[in-house]
Amino acid sequence: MFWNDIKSGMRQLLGQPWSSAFAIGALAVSIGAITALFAAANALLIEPVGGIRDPQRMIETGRGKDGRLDTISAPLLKVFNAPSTNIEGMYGWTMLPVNMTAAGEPTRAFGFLVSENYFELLGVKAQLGRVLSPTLDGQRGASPHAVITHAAWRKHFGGDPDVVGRVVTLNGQTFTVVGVAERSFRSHVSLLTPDVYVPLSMQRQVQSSNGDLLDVVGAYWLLTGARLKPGASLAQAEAEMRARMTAFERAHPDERVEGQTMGAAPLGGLPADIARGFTVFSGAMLVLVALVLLIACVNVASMMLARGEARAAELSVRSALGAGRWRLTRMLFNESLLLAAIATAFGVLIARVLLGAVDLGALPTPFPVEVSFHLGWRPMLMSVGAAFAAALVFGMWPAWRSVHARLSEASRGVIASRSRTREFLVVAQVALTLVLLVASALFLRALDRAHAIELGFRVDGVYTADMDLEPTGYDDLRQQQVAVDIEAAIRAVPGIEQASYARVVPISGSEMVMGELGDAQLPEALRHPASNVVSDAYFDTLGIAVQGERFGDAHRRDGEAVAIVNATLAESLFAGASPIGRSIKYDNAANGTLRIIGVAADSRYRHVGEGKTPFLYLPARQLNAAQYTLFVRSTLPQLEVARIIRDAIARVDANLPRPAVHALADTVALSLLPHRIASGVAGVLGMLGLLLAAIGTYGLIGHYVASRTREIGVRLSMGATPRRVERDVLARGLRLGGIGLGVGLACAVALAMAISGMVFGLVVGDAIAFAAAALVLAVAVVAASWIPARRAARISPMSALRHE
Amino acid sequence: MIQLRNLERSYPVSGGRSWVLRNIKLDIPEGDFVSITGPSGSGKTSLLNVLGMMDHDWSGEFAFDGQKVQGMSAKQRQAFARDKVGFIFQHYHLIDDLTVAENLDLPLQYRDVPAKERAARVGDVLDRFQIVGKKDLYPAQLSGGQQQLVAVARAVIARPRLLLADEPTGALHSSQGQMIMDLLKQLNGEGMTIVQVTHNEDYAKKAKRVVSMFDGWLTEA
Repeated sequence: MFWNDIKSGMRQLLGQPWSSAFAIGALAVSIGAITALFAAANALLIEPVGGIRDPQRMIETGRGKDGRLDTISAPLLKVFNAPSTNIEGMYGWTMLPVNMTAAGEPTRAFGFLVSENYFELLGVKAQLGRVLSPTLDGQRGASPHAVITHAAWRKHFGGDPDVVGRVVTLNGQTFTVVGVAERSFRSHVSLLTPDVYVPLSMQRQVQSSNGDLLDVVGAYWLLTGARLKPGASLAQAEAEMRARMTAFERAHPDERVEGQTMGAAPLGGLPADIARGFTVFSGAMLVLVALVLLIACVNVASMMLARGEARAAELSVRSALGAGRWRLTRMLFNESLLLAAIATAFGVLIARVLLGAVDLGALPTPFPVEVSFHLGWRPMLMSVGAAFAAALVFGMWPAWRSVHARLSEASRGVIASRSRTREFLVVAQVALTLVLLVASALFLRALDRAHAIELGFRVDGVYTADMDLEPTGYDDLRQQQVAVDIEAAIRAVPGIEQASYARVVPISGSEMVMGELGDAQLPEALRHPASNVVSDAYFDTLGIAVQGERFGDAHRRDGEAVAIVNATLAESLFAGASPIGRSIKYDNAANGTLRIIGVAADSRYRHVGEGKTPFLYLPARQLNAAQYTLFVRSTLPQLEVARIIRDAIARVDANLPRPAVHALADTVALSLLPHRIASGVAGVLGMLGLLLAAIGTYGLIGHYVASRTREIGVRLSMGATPRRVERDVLARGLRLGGIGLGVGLACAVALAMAISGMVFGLVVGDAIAFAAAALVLAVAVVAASWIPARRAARISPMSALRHE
Repeated sequence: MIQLRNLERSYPVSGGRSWVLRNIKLDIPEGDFVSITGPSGSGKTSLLNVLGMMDHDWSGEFAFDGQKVQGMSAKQRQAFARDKVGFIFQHYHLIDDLTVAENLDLPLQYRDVPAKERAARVGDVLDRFQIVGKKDLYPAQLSGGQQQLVAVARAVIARPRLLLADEPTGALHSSQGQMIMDLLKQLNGEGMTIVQVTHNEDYAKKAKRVVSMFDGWLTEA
């Protein structure tokens, strides 16, 4: 019986190939988009990170307030690893960019510095050799052991089966490879695939510029996670951690930060702070895609209703042959299921193509980002679920109506009701499309505003390259000289306008706090201002205006500690008075104070959307650092600049790895990635919705004209002019469009309020966005109504009256 | 009132033309009641469509109240027909979504009659045709005879000079058909010029004269 329904359904689809193809296409695109989006959200948020044993007992932990899970110190980590009733243990980790020499030239690699219990707590085994362990790798400074990932084993060691015992150099230190992690495990963070894991006991050796941090109570640098004991809850673990932290702070009152406590969250593919934002963002995108699916369903429902009417005679015959109402309804619904199944098959293909087009590796991130989006059982279930829901919307209800209407054909109420139903569908389409278009317009305008933001520094023609002097083994003075020499070598090349270096790249999302400013009375933001360590030419390279003096030869390494503050910090500290020449307490300065020599113009430091931020610039010539980013300004093409940078580095020190060179514009663009994704997705969906709404309106008005040909002939014979007929038909379409726009406007306002905080620059009351969206849709509705209206006006009353 | 001379209508077919009206000569004085009979395909309805100025693709001479219709543009003919002609169809062709009163109101709307006057004339016609009680009903709620009654009322409400009826009793059973024919006679008695097309010989004889059509040719009976 089901098979008969399917055969009947196939004949129906093949009998009207164009409209069937359109219906399948519209549904397939929507289902494909939903599936792809859900696959991405699944990979990043839902699916347990691969290779972790019993992932449901893993939690992410951290210090912070308002739900933030931030870094802790190594001594505090030790406290949490004392015997506990709720957790088996806590691991700590931090990202470790390394210069790695495995064979041949040094290469830039990416590692994790992890506590020795990291693999044990995550339940990760070794494919070859062993993983890190507290007993074998805990001896401070004397455990030069590294575990490499399966991917790194392939990439850097050619899959050598004898890799265990191989010696590698990491940041100038010799390590022995003790194991290869099992293939299914990359890291506990979905996006990150480190090459190498190094034990915390070797922290000072691989981060010599940071000094020994393992006993520093006030150095918050470790991200953490823990494994719950069987039966223990997150809340219990949290309470225990908070109690321990309180006791720790009592023992170390100087390091206590007001308002901060320990928190925990289930371990997901992304860190909790990022996961929250991503969840909201992907949720909003899913809503938009679901709207398109709904519009497509409404379109198809209208088509199914029309087909049902056309099959009235067939349904009557089937009924006369003994088919009951439910049997007929089921037959029509099964045909809809067939349509949905075919659309799903194409939708899955579309999802594959969309997911295959995503290449996160191409993004200019400070660390390599890699994630595989695949269509696992959850996305496929979502696909099937979406298809079934769609079939229910566009199939079951029209099926029930078609069967029900057949049995009460003579009733004028049913005839009018069918007409109202299709009108309702058009109104719904127009309303939903307006919501989509408004969302698209709002995101586009937000992107526009973000682009228009004055960053306060030059972007065009500026290139960046990471410079890591850690592996050279040089002392601080030599490292500083190497940095200066590289900068000078680059600047000397014809075509290079300026070169400099700094610790932090603006708008990269990174923030660095170097010390405490002033005294305890200062507000937190001023007491711990964001900072950057910059070479003399930094301000000139980025076009940042400085009042007063810039860093230069006069500010010697062993001389008076100086700083340049930005205008916001100057205003906050000195309330309008010039700060130039004034001194302020700074605990990271040689003699505990800084003399302010200049005021830099405000710019954006961490995010495009940030407000006025107090900022402190410190001179690279007075501070030790091994890791910098080069900034090079030139009108030469990027490839040429990259060659110049690499050649300059090689000339100064052949042992340094050749860095990747990125345009600063790409880094800024990366910060606007949420805007670009949102506006891109919403824009495409908006156009798709517009097309569907226009086709839906055209279809409805066209159907109205076709089904009322006789009536139009009568009206013409009664004295109506063709222009009057055209006007009446057009008015019908415009009336429906107008109602749809009104309803859509209300829904769009609600949507705008819901997404208002999602991206910077999105303004709920953006009248231009609303007006533009409404205008575009109105034009589409008018055009879609006008074509059948013109056709109606050309109807010959004579032939119309013969039309039954 | 109406003179037709050398009226011809044909359609192109493969190999030539198909003639539906051949050299028609017909005079219809004011107040006349003419029945046009003939077998199916003889051209009766085609002649009616020409008289009603719904068909513009003919040749010959057609004068209506002294005005030469053949010289008018399509738009002029439409306006002329709107003022002069009322139509009754075999299948009533009432608008399903409109009530009886609204169906009657429709021709007056298309003639830009002011609302108050429309309401008055609709009331008059409802009263005259004794269908006041049905004014809020929809066509689907009426019998065939009642629907045709409403159709006749709709055709005359705009006070046309000529009433054309295409098989007005074709879809009705005998008692209903008789009622409609009696109504047409009554209207003719009041001075309405009526031309009907009918297959029914008895109903044809209700008219003042009968003309026959065969293969596009017209002959007076």
